[in-house]
Amino acid sequence: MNEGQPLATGKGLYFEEFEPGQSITSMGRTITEADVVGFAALTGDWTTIHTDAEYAARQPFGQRVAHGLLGLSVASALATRLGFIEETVLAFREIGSWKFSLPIYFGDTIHMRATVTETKPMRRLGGGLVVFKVEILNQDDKVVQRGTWSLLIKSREA
Amino acid sequence: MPFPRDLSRGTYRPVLETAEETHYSPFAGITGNKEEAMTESKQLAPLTGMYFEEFEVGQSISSMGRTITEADVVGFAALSGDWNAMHTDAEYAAKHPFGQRVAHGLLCMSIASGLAMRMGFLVETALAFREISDWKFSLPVYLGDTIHMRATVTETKAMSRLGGGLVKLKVELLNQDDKVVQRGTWGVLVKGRDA
Repeated sequence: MNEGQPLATGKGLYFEEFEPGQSITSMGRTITEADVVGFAALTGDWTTIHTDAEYAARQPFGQRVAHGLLGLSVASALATRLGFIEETVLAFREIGSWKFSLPIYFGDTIHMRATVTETKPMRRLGGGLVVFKVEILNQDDKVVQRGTWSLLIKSREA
Repeated sequence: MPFPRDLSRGTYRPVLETAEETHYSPFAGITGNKEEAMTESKQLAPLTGMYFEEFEVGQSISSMGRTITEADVVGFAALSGDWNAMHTDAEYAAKHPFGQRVAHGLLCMSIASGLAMRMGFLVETALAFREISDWKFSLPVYLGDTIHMRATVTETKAMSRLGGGLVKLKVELLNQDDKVVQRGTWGVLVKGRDA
């Protein structure tokens, strides 16, 4: 028993370990009615297209859809759960051009895919900026949202 | 009997001074036939959204404030699944450059969108949130900070095929010290009047 190694824990990557072209795909998550009602309650955005099934049935989508920002928020959490920025991310700095391309319906299952497109040292801030191209895909592998995220990541020496 | 200065103005009369009006009526100020007065009263005006044609470059609006509480941050972590230590571990956060837990950037942006909807100008006329561009998370939002949002129309673009048009809003989130904590542009597809 003394020879046993500790179970490996998710450990974040330092700025120096990121390189353009690296990519990662998350686990999936089903967007439920509970998620949408919870997000409406938390944010105060009770827009009927998200919360009134009768109204939504008469709209172009034909049914309630999840808040776009709920999809984006869940995607950022899926990224966090992957562990590659665990305790090395210093700050979320920027969202570049972000498109809400397709609706996310109740019961859809989304996952996210991130690819490093750029790394830029920012020594004064103790690390550097890592820019990711991010896509959110549904169960049919269709891109429902896409854009870029920039994260400030800790340097190994910092 | 002392009562607050601001309430002592206008029509407010403390009960003790109007002992003769033992049967208080909310319509006490209306003279003449009370039933008639009631049917003449207008409906309370609900918030109504603006159609695409009503938006013009330069229009702006400021929201009410909202205090970002510990409950908001824990709730957002639970809902999204983002339990990053910077938001949820007070001991870790104390050793981090910010020195304390900070709210998730996307929680504040989501609350800003909730504040925008609560103002009513997009009620049942917003068809879809289409895009976010150049969004900067400039300053941290700490637990207990109070934020509000300000939106200014910068562009309108008819999209008849989609039954309305795109309205671009320059959006700023400000804290209680009037410092911009987040800013960028939102593109919202808004219903046309004839759609």
